Amino acid sequence: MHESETLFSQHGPDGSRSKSIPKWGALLGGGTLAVVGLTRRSKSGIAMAAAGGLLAYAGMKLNSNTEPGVAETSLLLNTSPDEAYRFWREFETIPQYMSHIESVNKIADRTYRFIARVPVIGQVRWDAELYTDRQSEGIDWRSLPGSDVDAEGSVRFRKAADDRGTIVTSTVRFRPAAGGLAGAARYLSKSASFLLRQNLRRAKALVETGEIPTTEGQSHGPRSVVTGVMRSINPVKPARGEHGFQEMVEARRSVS
Amino acid sequence: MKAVCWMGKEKVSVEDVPDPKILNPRDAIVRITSTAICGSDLHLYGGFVPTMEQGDIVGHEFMGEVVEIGPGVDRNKLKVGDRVVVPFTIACGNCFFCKRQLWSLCDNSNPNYWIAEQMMGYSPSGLFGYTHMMGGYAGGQAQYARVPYADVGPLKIPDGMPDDKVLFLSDIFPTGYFGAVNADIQPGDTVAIWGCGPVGQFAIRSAFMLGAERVIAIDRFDYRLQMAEQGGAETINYEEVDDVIQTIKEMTGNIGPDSCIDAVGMEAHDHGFMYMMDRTKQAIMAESDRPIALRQAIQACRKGGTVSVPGVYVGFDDKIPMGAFMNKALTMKTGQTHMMRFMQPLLERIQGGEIDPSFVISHRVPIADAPEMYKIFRDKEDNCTKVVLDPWAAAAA
Repeated sequence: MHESETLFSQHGPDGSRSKSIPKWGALLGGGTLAVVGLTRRSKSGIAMAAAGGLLAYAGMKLNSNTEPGVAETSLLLNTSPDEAYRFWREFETIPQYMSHIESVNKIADRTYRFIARVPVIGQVRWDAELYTDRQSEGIDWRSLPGSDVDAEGSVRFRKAADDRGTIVTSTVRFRPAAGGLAGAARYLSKSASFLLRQNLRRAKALVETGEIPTTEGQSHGPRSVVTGVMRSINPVKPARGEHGFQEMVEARRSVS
Repeated sequence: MKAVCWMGKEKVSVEDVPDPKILNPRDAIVRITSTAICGSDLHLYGGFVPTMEQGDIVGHEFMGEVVEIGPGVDRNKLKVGDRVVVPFTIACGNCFFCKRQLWSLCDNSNPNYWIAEQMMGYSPSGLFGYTHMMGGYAGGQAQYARVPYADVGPLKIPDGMPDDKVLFLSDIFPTGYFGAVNADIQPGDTVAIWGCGPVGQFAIRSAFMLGAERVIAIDRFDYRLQMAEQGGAETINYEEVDDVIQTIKEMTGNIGPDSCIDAVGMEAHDHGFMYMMDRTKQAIMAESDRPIALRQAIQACRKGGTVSVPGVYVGFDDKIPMGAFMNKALTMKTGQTHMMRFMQPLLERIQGGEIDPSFVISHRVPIADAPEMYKIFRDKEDNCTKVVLDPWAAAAA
């Protein structure tokens, strides 16, 4: 079967992710070291943060073997590749699990209009054409000229070992489009990795449990001003907490 | 409704908040009849666990009556009017982990998976009334609670069994039991248990249920050690001996306990240099936990034995004796409790008269007294072991 040139094919025709593993290892390990180091506020902590930062940076450099700006992630879903494909192929249901997408409508054969919402800028539109669409295997899409941003992406479904389900691997990339919204492209590109991971996780929950876990709209006592403001900006991404560094230091002192 | 809210370090208050609503198809609303303060709530109270927000409703040990169910709840498993105990871990029942009975590792129930993922690599299940890293679900020290995936977690309780007997199926009884299961106890074994709080007390009794012949319990409060003795344990007050490990060695003919259970966790106490080091490091955030009990458990355990850790740890710990752990060929097992594996069998043990979990209760108070009880429980005043709150009782005048 002919494999068309896709974002995904950079990992080889069998979908192997050999380059990604050291990359993520370095990024995660380095990032963790850096975070832990920074929270330590000591000489060794700073050294650890610096080492972690370098490791994470090296991890990003590894990433440069792949095309720049491509966000990629994968998740194991407790379902068959065929069921996963059929779920993804219902493009109109995307707003259910992709928090930043407002609507998806079919405008022509194999072409869908995506409306995303971007903070400050508001609505952002791109018309996505499916140029690969293979039952149970995967989908590739890219935006048509005239869209607000230049977008492309892919999703692949691979049967997991030991009948554990399907490994879904998804990529997306946003770039400025000629005559489009450069700010929106910048925002989407910067957020792509986080949004992709969040959205894939929400999709997994929807496929596996029929719903997406949430605490939005639950009861709570009086919030502080800081939390209130942060929640109103982004209700799904909680504030880092009242519980800042200084407060934790004080809490520990008081019991020491 | 009235609810106990976390308002900052060492600040909880009872607030009037809106009643909970069904937010997802598989949700239920439970009218709470009994709820309790857990030792792990004290970690939040003391400000030791990051990602709390002012106004969060706390509490994860509760039971009550189902008053509303969402359209996605399996009616054969749960209906309005059922009396249920709600487990503190939230599990979807469908994912890789739930299918393997690893309920506290549910892959779908934490909406803030990404926060925990940064800290631990992957996220465990969501929890009621805990940090936002663990989902930020509103808790059960309240008059009502929203229960997600209501056809998976809640355990139906037959009429006629009083709340006091079954309330602790929500956490501490299964957690103590899981601690003993993880200790891989064989008939005739000797088991040492650090911490004689409620989880330690249930671990002692569970160790005997699983065939242990001797249990050695370690704490510093005489009233808790007495309760341990009532459960059949030999006891060590670590403030009254020079060296806990040496004492344990002498008690076991220098072979050591077959299994050691750390039912203490991150806020351990001790005396001496290492303790002061941990205390200082924790104060300046150079260490998230004080793993004193864990270190002792590893040191004291017999060669080839098992260390079980039901005690709560949250972060990165120093000076874990890996040399002892490796060279003595130890096994360590831990985790938040896979609640749904143990609730029904333990209910049957209660029904069969093998155990009445209400023995740990030292205080029963109206919900309005919760803020004061947090302090009393934290400071171990008034022989406080376990506080049960009545969400509906009027405050004492």
